[in-house]
Amino acid sequence: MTWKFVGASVQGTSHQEHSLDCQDICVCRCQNLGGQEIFWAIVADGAGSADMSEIGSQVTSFGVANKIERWLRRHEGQVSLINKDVVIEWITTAQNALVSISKSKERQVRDYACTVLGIVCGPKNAVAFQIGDGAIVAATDMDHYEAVCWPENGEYANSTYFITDSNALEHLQVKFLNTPHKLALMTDGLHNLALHFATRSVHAPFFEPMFNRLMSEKQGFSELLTQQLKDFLDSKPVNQRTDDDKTLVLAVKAL
Amino acid sequence: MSEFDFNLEQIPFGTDNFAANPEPRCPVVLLLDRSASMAGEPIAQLNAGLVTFKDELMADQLAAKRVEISIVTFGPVEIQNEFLLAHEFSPPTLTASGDTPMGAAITQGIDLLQARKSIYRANGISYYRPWLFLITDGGPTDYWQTAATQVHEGEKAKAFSFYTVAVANANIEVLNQIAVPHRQPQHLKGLQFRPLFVWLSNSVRAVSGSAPGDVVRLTNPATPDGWAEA
Repeated sequence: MTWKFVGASVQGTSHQEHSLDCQDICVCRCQNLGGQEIFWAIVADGAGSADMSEIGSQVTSFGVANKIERWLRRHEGQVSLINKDVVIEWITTAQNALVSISKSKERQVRDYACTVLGIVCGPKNAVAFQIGDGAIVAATDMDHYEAVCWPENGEYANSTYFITDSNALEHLQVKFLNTPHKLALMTDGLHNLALHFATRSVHAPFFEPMFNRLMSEKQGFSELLTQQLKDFLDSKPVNQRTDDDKTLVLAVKAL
Repeated sequence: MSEFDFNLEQIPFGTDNFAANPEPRCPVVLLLDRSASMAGEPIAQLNAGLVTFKDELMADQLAAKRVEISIVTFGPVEIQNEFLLAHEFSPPTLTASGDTPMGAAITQGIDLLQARKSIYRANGISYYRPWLFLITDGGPTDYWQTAATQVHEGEKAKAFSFYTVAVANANIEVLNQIAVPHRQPQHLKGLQFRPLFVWLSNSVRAVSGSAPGDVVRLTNPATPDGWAEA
């Protein structure tokens, strides 16, 4: 296995105060298919305004993850065959699942509102997608970080787009890129620490120490660093900058 | 004047400090009636309310960095100040005189907001939905229908939120037509300007501290303890 990765979701301080569940979730996995190694990750952030959004983010992330896993198996890990229609099909499946659960609970689908972001990386090609805020960051050469998907907020700072919106697919970003050596997915709770909005750029010092530490781990999912990542995400310096739930997935590809 | 003398109006830096304070902004335009009928206690209470507004915003760390206040008075229509953070804002001492060109004042306020949004965008500053807050004890003495259309279009496009406070014998029939149906004018109890501005600062604090997906619930001012007539 060439990927080393870690991911964690931690409840924000404002949600602790209001005894809400953590509405963030992340799923990441490394699969071996047809002699190819595929790394993929999905992150979802439930809307604070939606009563059932922690369910919404679970249904969305597991729904999309399940689709990706099956698609990859059926296509023997050919990431280069993923086009925008394939991503739309994954998203639509999750939307349908959200509609059926809302109907079965006699609720509105917007009660399950969440954002979603994900990346699928083959040996050479990768596909990233996102609806709403949060960001996907990649280092294409060793030192330069770029946001593959930038948060989409609409006009106002306190608005965003959700997978449950009727026009969600209009706000679906799909990006095709060369598989990066380092990548990160985050929810909006970490925007202010990791991104520089005035210049629309990535704040590299936020990521570098963590990527460097991850490089020294053994391959695969790091249990050890997961706890350290959780501690970091719940630390005072982070909580002073944000009171929201926060999720971070980090992955590096051994050369 | 030597060629090195700066014209203070033209210095291109030092006015906005977006680099030092990149927090998202919540712009608020107060459209204040200072026509002759406001003379005496009403204008005195309004002035005191503005001081309270500044103090309340200063007391909240996040709001102090995010809420920007602009004041347009009428009549005649006059921009007292463009968008200032609470610590930059010196509450004016308004005096009452003149007529009530409310339509022109509303249009002026909307123009100010549009220009401010362009500045935010040019500087990469995110922002919250702006507020226009009209306080009047009269009715327009100018052609107000254009302003009413602008208010309705702006509300429909979610370009801003338009609130109206009617004081004493304000022309409620016309104010009802300017305001949108889901944000009808509130009638101020007596001259309770201070509670009104405490409520306003609490409301914009709640908005300026909200994250995507949050529902901002404003407290209802029309309660026995509130500033508005039920």
